[in-house]
Amino acid sequence: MRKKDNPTRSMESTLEWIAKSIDQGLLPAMVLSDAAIYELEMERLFARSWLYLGHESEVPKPGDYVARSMAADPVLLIRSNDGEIRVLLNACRHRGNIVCRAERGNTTSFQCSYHGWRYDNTGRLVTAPGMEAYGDKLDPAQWGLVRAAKVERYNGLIFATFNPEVPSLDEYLGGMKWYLDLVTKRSDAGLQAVGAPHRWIIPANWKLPADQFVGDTAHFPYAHISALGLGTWPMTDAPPWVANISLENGHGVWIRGVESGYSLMGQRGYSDSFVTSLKSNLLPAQVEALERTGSLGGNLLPNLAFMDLQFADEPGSPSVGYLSLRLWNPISVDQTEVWSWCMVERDTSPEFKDTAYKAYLRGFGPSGAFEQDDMIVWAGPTRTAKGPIGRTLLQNISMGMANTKLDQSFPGPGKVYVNKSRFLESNLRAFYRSWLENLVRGA
Amino acid sequence: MSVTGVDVTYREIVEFLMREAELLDDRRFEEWMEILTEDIYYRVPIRTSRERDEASEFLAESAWFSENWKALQMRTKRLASKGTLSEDPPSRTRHFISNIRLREASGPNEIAVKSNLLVYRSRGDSVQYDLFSGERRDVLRRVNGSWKLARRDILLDQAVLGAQDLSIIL
Repeated sequence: MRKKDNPTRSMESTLEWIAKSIDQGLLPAMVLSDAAIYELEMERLFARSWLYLGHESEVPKPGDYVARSMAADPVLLIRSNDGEIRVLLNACRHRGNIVCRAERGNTTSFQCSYHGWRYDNTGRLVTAPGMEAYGDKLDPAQWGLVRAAKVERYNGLIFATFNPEVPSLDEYLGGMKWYLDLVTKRSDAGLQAVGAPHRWIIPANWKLPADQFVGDTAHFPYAHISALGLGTWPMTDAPPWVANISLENGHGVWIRGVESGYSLMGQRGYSDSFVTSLKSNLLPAQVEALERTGSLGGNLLPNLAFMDLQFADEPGSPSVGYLSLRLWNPISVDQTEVWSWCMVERDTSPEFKDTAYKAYLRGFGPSGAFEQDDMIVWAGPTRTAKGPIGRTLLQNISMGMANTKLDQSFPGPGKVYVNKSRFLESNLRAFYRSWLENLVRGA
Repeated sequence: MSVTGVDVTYREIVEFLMREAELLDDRRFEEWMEILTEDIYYRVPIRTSRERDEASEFLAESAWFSENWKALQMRTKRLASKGTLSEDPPSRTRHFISNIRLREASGPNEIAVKSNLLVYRSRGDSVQYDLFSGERRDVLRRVNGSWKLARRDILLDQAVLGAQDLSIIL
């Protein structure tokens, strides 16, 4: 417990205290429940960062759009008639009405339902009824739908930001690109999102799923015991290797795999030709890493996560590999909207895609055997961080601090932490350190 | 109500659905599995809001559930096992089935049935509860004199799921 609460303590000194705590392997519970911290996150982290919007396969044809959210801001991810992908704030420039209320569709223009302002699918204002009433003061070039300052793609993944000062996507991703390649660059044909994402609301602070996906390899045998017993998780006798890999900008990756020299490629159910294409698309070091990888996941600060897994769709069947992408979209300090996509390579067979989707669905999504139990363990900390005593507590995030070492032999970038007992929270600490740096830097 | 081509009474179908709801609410999952045919398929598609006149809101590729017998067996086995955090303590459900309509037969021993579904679900000491509303489209098949469920599609009345999970059987 920390010292008696000083109501006039400034945010600056609070952030300093949080930083010192993290360095000691402690996390103040209040970061999960404090309203002022939440507002600071919105202002200094979400408003300023690259955020994930979707995959280019979700808007394949000119005019295609999907409605997405960037924190509390509703946006449209749209492929304009000129083929370019844009991100537009879904708010009429007149009085702010929502311009498009469908979740997906295809259109060449949008008309606001309130006063009829009309925009083309680049967001440009085409006309506003009563235009003459503005004299020459309503310049269409100034009054189009607000466009994201930057929209960039990496291997089909579309990111955007309204912050013109942000470094390039390339710089933001840093070493994470190498790991994203493992899951997005296996095929020349690229990935496709299977249908529409699952969207559901969970009673948890957004950081709980983010900080689990960034590196929590210790929770599987406990939180997920009911799912592990179902017989859909492929087993191996090869010696296990588990790592937390810390990258730049608060990103982290975890791997549950096997020691060098062993291969788990067979768990993925890929055709021989797919494996050949994978080996030619990835660097030899990446192929080596993928061979050793059973499950791989990570989180990009703030709220994009992924898991590359192999599961069977039913007990007794062979496992197949699929990728799930996640967005933890904050709704309020204690509520998050989860977006979850199943991604497969375009050039896999229809049967493979069908099996992969079922394997995903039976493990993940709100009806999934693994996912259901995660909701419970994220709701719990959110709840206990609220009470007058609970909010003063310091959580222990020191697992592995004493005996984790760097594995210099792993071929991928970043700080690769391993621990003989396989219990480590290196990425958890790194996530919160970066999270905090963003809040401080924005001051 | 009668449907040509099938020897069935409305009452039989209502009793089947009422008994099935009781099995689910009483968590008698093994007995519930027994009223499914071996080729059962149980699907709840995802829907996304579309403008009127556009294609259907429901997707063929994406679903909240998409389960054959083995998958349902896996699901009910997990629901009954210790260590299932999401269902220990168990959810309380109440299935309300109404507006039951018999539709055309797909054979002398099969019948399509539409009904409205409302499932109430609560947990623990929370006063929050979930309400899942939807349309059920079932195919029932008479096997050795008893009706069984051969196919279920549930069209939920939500796009974004307003619940933290679907740990129950709708």
